Amino acid sequence: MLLYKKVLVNLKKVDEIFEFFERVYHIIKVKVKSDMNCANCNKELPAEWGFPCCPYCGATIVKQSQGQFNMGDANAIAGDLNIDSHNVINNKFVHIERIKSDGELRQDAKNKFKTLCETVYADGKVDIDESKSLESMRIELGLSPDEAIAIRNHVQRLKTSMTGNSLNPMAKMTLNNIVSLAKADKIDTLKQSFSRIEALHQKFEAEEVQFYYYLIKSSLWTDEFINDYEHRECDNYWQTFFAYLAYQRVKRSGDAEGILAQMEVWNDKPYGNMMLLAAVGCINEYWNDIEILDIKAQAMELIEQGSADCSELLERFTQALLLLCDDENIEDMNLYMHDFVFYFKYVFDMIIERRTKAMIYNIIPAIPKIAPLPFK
Amino acid sequence: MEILVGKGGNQSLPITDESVSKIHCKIEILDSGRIVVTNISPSGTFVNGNRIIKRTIITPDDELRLGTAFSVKVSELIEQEDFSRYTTYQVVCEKYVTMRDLQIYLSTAVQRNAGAMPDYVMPVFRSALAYYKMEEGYWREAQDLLYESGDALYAMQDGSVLLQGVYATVLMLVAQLYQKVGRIDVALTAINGAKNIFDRIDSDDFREQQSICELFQNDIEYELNNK
Repeated sequence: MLLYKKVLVNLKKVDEIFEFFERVYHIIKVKVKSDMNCANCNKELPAEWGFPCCPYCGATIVKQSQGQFNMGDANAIAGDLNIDSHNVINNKFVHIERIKSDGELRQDAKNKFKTLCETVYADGKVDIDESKSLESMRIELGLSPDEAIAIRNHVQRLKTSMTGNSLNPMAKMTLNNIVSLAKADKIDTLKQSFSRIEALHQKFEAEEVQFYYYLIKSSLWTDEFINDYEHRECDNYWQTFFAYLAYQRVKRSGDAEGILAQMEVWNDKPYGNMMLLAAVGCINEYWNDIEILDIKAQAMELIEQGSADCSELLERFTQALLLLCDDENIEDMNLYMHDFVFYFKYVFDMIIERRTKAMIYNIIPAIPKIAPLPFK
Repeated sequence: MEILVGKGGNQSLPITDESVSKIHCKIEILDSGRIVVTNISPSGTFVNGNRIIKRTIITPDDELRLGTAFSVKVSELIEQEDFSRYTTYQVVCEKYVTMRDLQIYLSTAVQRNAGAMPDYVMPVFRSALAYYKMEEGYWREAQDLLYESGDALYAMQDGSVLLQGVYATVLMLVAQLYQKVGRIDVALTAINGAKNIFDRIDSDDFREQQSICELFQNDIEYELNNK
């Protein structure tokens, strides 16, 4: 009995579907018929009339394309119904739109704010009225001050970067100065001067600026850097690159490995860069447990292959990695310390620490012992 | 917090007076901040001249007399001992100026403070005792103590500058012992090891030891060359 009822229900549904398609067919037929009138005498042409002239007046038939139907992209067409991927429209303009999630609404709000920012920054500066309107828009859209600042900075950077991809002599000099401070281990001065490279980072998209900015930030302010990375508005190659090292430094290897997978999307960047990052992971692991010799061999191979196809900016990075692999002479590391002081003290400090621990018994002599001495 | 006061107590001020018991009285610092003293010794404990017979509330400004002659302010006894400063035998010897003081302290207080002191402190105390033994010509005892503390520190090495410096100081003492017993060749090995460590770590915390080590190295080399 129950089965019978179910069959009845299903049959009813099938009937409804047939009825729907019949209705659709009828609408199409009517629509096609009504459209196929002679333009001259306005008489209805016979169904499927394939001749070029009107059978009533002989006038040439102007073929009307089915373009009257708004087909949209990848649509299903049912007579005067136009169903596109976003909404359903009939002749009475009834819009049925999918309810957006909170995340999408927030993204919409950000996009609106970004559009306003783009308008405001079109002339490269913000006056008081514009600033006020940005603030009122921010409040209206429910964005936090931090979110608004991040969007404004992003738009400003994009605006300036249009003309700032190549560094002007002043910017080059500033960058050189910052790099010299890092090389000379003048960290206090470097920290004080960091705002200068931060300003360059805001203004120039140039690769060396982005590289050094994120190198210094990830090394000297690792936690802040990770926080920025995790709340980023947009992706930056060098930020992602150094996020891998930052995660390694704070012993979040799992997150670091996740970054390697993400970096695949930058297919315009040398693949060797990623291999060098993977080598860092291997070296770190090796010094954690020097019994695993395979990892060291793997690291060496990654460095070798990576260095053949990596960014020029990573030249010293690669040399430092090679030195970190050396487990023969710990004293040699001290000879190179001066040349690679920033890398050894601030970028690879965790690896150096692990390496020193692993090699300590090679550099510290045991107590030299002799036969037991007389009591007195 | 509980502080046991006496010649073998864990109070911050070392007590060597003969009239004071090994553990003379107990001072407790309660969670409320109040300080309470309890007498343990038969020779008695006095607060501002009055003998106490039960747990008594005191203040840091009160004066305690332990036994017949030794008086001290409460504040001097309850200061927290900073064990991390004992990085060399010299620091220990500055506080415990005789071998006996150090032996009394080692026999009682160190055990009670074991949880509160860094791992390297006990070997440093032993190396200080070895120094006193060496000064008095107890070669064998000094040798045993130095081997024991040196091996313990060697096993503790984790690459830190501090532990390397502490170990190098013990190596210096080993060299000193070998020099005294006429084994100059082994003394040179030990002092060279210590010198290499000091030079490599290049730490301000061990600058003084580094200078002493350098002079000592020259001395041993000179002795070896003129043998």
